[in-house]
Amino acid sequence: MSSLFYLTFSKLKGTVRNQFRSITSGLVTIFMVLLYGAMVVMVFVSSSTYKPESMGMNANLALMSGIGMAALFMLTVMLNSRKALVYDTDAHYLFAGPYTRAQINFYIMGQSMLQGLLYGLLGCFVMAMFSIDGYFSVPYFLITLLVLWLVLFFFLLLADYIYMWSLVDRKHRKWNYIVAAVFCVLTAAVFWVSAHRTGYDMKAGLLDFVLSREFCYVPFFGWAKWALNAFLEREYLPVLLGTGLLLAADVLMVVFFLRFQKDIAEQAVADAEAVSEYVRRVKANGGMAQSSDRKIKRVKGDFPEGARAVFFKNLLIMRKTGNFLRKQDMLILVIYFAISYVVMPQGRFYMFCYMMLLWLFNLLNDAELLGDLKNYQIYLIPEKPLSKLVYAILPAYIKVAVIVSVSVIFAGIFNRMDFLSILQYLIMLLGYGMIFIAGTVLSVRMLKARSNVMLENLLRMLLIVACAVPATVIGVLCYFFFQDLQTAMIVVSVITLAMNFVISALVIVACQGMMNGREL
Amino acid sequence: MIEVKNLTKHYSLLESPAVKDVSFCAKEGKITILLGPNGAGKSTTIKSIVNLLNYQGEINICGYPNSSLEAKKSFGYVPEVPVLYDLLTVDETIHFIGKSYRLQNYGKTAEEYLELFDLTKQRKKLAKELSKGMRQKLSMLLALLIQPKALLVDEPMVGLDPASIEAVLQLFVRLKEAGTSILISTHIIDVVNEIWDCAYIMQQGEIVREIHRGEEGSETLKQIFFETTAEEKA
Repeated sequence: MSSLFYLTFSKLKGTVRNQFRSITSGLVTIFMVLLYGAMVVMVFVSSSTYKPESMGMNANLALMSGIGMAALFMLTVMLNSRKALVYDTDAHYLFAGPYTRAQINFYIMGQSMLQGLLYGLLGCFVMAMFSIDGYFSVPYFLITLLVLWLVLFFFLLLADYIYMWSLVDRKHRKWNYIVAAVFCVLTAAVFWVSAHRTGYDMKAGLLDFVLSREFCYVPFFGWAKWALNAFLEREYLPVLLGTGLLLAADVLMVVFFLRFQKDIAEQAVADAEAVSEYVRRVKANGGMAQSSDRKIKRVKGDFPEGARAVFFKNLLIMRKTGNFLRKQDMLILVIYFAISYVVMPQGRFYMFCYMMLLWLFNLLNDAELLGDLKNYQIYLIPEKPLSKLVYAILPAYIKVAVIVSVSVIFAGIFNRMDFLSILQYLIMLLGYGMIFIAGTVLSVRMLKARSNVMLENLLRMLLIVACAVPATVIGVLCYFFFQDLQTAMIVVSVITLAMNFVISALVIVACQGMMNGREL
Repeated sequence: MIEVKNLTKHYSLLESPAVKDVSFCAKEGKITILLGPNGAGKSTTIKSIVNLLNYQGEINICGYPNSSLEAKKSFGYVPEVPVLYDLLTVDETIHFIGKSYRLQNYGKTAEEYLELFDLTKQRKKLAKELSKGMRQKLSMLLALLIQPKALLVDEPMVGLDPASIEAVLQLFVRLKEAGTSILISTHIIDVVNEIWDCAYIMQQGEIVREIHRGEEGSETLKQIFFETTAEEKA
């Protein structure tokens, strides 16, 4: 058993060590830890006494955001069809090694404990960021972490338990859906009560739902909210009762889990291999699973000579995977359009454009582009590095340009915007699209194979700041020169739009050397 | 010709170099072998030669610095683990390399190698649908498609069946006779025993012995390898 503890510890140590394998990666890791750590510390430093009458609504909204995240995670875990207890290396050691069934179960449970803790911390972070009134104290953080961990740990273990039984008999898989359905129905029922109470006014109903006592009857998530609300209001008996209920459920689950004795090794190892292979392919694809699993269309394509072949190759792959315009992207845009239409009648077009900016952030974690930048073939092609880089990123940018242009023009015409406004927001989004691509390239240039989505996003934000600096400086100078704030603001916005393109282009030119292949 | 002068490669400044001051030459019309146990630095040397790694030292291929376009046009590289575009078919992959290298009349060469590697029936398959051995063969085909003056092969026989190994060995001899410089990294000595002209034995990042065919006397390459690596260990 001690070897399993050693394995867990060594794996954790290895993960940390890997982040510090290169100076750049180590510095970025330290920077990220300091950045997020400082954000949390700021929340603690500014903490003040909780006042239900003035802070109640915000506190409940923050609480629901953390609990909502946990619920979303629970649904993802329960409904995920691609399941395994552990990854393939662990599976081989565990099921072939000299361990009893209880020891194996204990090890798997340990993984769920750690995973629950990580997601619990994430939930706390989300809540801390939403706690604008400054009531998020260290004790509140600790009790939140405990409560969220108890909820998440229960569902992680339950999902594994159902999975193990499903290996004995596939019919047990239905319990995943039953559990998820029960929670959806109960939550919907509470929401219906709130909506009914407010005469089906959706906005008021939503606020009532957040504050309602009925929500506390929803098992686990309701108990968690009950305990945390009570802690804020310094009523410690409900804190004990809520936490006690969660703890009791967890203990019961642990007992059931550790007592599972059926022989499931063969299928468990096969599933572990399949899931590990899937994860490896997703990673190799730059964080996108779609092209790994999606049905491939049999379309034909031709290639021109030289570096342009890279561009046509990527277009061909996009056509095969249908990755140029994906259904989920279209759905998101339709949802954004509907939200902007309902929520902000005075500024629908502007809201839609800013929501598209968020969508761009995710869309440009582009599988083909990252796949290309991590494949040695492109580095060996005897063409100029800048041509290869430009042709490699061009398909991703064209994809963005087409989708953004069509969406913005449609939203602009639909909302009867003037031509200049449509043009201004179109240029803004295209500029940000270019920054996001430049961020991806810079991330691969700096971290090579260790490049990750978090670093890409950080670099993108830094580039946005870098683009704003020259415009702000010139804006300030304009203000002193013309003594007119409006003129200065126009200058700032116009120059920022231009700088988005200029700085992105400079970054891409500066990164061209990577296409010679050094340090892939 | 592949010329390597004072090649040193550090993966981490905190660790000792993976390759330490290595110099050697793989001549035209010769098969040069890099031999060594696991972790000796063979793959690092090959990856440095094809410019996929940062390194210190000087490397020239066919008289040009390895990062130049002229050098890139003249060498073919077969990595230990093939990296292919999974969603391109065999045919598309061949066309992609042919066009991106601006090759003229590569179709005939492709047909010849498709036949040789028994890939003709697989040409409409996606790369991800190929078996491990087929992927290795396709990777080799792509390197040969450009009709390289220098060929660098990292563990060429991994995943190949006996018939393919035999075909590849004959091919290497044919290419050598046509004047190609061939540099092969391997730790499976038996496979290259019949074809090598010059061998460099590597250990712990250094070349510890250089042997030319005819100098081995009554000993086999395998015996020399074990003696050398055992001496170095001691």
